[in-house]
Amino acid sequence: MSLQNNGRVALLFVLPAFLFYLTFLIVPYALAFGVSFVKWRGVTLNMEYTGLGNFAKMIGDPFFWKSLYNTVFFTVLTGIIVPCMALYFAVAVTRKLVAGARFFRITFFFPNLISQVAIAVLWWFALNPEFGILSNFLRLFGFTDLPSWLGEPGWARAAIVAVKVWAAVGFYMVLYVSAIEGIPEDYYDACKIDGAGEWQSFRHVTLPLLSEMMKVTGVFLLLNGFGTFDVVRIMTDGGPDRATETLATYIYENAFELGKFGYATTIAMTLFLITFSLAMLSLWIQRRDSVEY
Amino acid sequence: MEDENTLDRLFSGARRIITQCVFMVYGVIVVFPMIWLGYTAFKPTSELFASAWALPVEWKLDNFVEAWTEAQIGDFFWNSIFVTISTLVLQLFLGAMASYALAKYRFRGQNLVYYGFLAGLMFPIFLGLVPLFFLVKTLGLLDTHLGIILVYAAFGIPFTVFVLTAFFRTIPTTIMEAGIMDGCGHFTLFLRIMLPLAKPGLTTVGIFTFISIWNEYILALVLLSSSHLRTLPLGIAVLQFVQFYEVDFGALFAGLVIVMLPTLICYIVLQEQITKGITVGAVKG
Repeated sequence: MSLQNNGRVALLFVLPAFLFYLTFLIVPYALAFGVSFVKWRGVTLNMEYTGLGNFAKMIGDPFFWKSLYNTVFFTVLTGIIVPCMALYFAVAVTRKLVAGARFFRITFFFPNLISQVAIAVLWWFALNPEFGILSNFLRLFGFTDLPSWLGEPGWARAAIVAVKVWAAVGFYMVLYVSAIEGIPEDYYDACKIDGAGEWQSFRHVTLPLLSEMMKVTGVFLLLNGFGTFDVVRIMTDGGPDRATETLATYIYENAFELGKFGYATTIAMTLFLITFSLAMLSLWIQRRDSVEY
Repeated sequence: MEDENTLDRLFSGARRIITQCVFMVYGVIVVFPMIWLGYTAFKPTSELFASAWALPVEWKLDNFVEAWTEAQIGDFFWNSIFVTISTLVLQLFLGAMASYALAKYRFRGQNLVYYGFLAGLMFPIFLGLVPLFFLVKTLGLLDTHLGIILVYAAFGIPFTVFVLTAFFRTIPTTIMEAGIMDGCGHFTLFLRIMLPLAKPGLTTVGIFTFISIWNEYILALVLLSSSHLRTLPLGIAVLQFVQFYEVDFGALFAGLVIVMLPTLICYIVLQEQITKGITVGAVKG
């Protein structure tokens, strides 16, 4: 087995990828920890150490709190709506409760192939009060006094949630479908013999056996929700009146539009700490022995 | 239990109909905006304002021509092609080399390196964004295709290593030994024998990388500024901002069609593989 013990050769194989990874991922992330403690306008490499100054400034910044609130709002709503819809679709498709299941499986996934930018521009058009499809559709039913969907805080936030849901459901549906298809058919046969209906087999077989996949998708949804950027930036640019501003768009604005690089990184660090601890928390809450068939 | 069952039977017929309706309605919500976009791209903006639903009076390619030339979508398209392919080649090659060594050799610090790579899957892009920007700037690679290709490839390495290491582990070691017997060097062995055997794994990673790089926005936004270097998503985003003030949407509609088609076609052709790939990524990740 001397072949596989050739450490020097192995190192030569690993090194190029590792150097790349070290340079462009590890180094920036490591630096981020340092940068969040400095005041830095980015023109030169001159940084002024402020200790926890940036954090103090953040605590007193109402826009930070507003962005945080909006981010949580988007994450919670998508985190509830997306898995519910995806699970419903996945069950109906796998348990053959719907005709044309294959067709729906394919089409529902379409939005996941499109750039978030394209999705956002597409819906920005579709929600246009004059020629957009939503307004025109509602006019067919005699509604005339329609709002400018992206121009009013309440509607704009609802629109962001709706578009995020539209963009995500297909992906989660595919994940749930694969998990359900992994459940042995015998379990469902046993249910049938016991006289259980579709709802009961869902509650007593499908749902408990999906716990592992729920854990994974829970973390995905969390990361996705807290990272909300593209859709907001394109559709509303955080407006109107910062009603849709998220932490990610606020970080971008501070760093690349206002040049407050240190402060932006402080917020990014906060975003990371929140996401990371919530992810760990959700894994801990959902901890359970994994199922082996 | 009995009650629940009776209810179940009573409603099963109605439920079937409702479910079918829900699927059809949601199907329309998913597909119709794309179809609307598709045919509106052939209409002049004046027609769009006159009647938003109607099919174009004449199917003219004017918008596409305008988009491709005047709005620079043609440039953005070739930029996207160049950046995506270069990233794919670099990332797959480097990633495959590393994965091969991690799967088939034993060396000190192996686990540390492997989990070090996987940790990269956990970090949100926004945390490293500012330092990354200055790093790329310091290296003199800001606003260059080379810079963004290197960054994309580096960001793709964790996923590549994750999938390909698992894949290389399934290839029997005896094949390696046979290769060495035949007088191959380690690198020839990798290039001529192992890499071709890993083709299914490479395809999976390749498809996902293609889709994600083709659609990527935030890194392009931060790392590219010259208009002639923009990739499609970045170019479209800028175009939206500009056309909002000019109220001329034709080129933008056409641009959207151009950015959407390649990945949709890729999916329709490789649908099975993509679906399988997502599951592999999620279950093991």
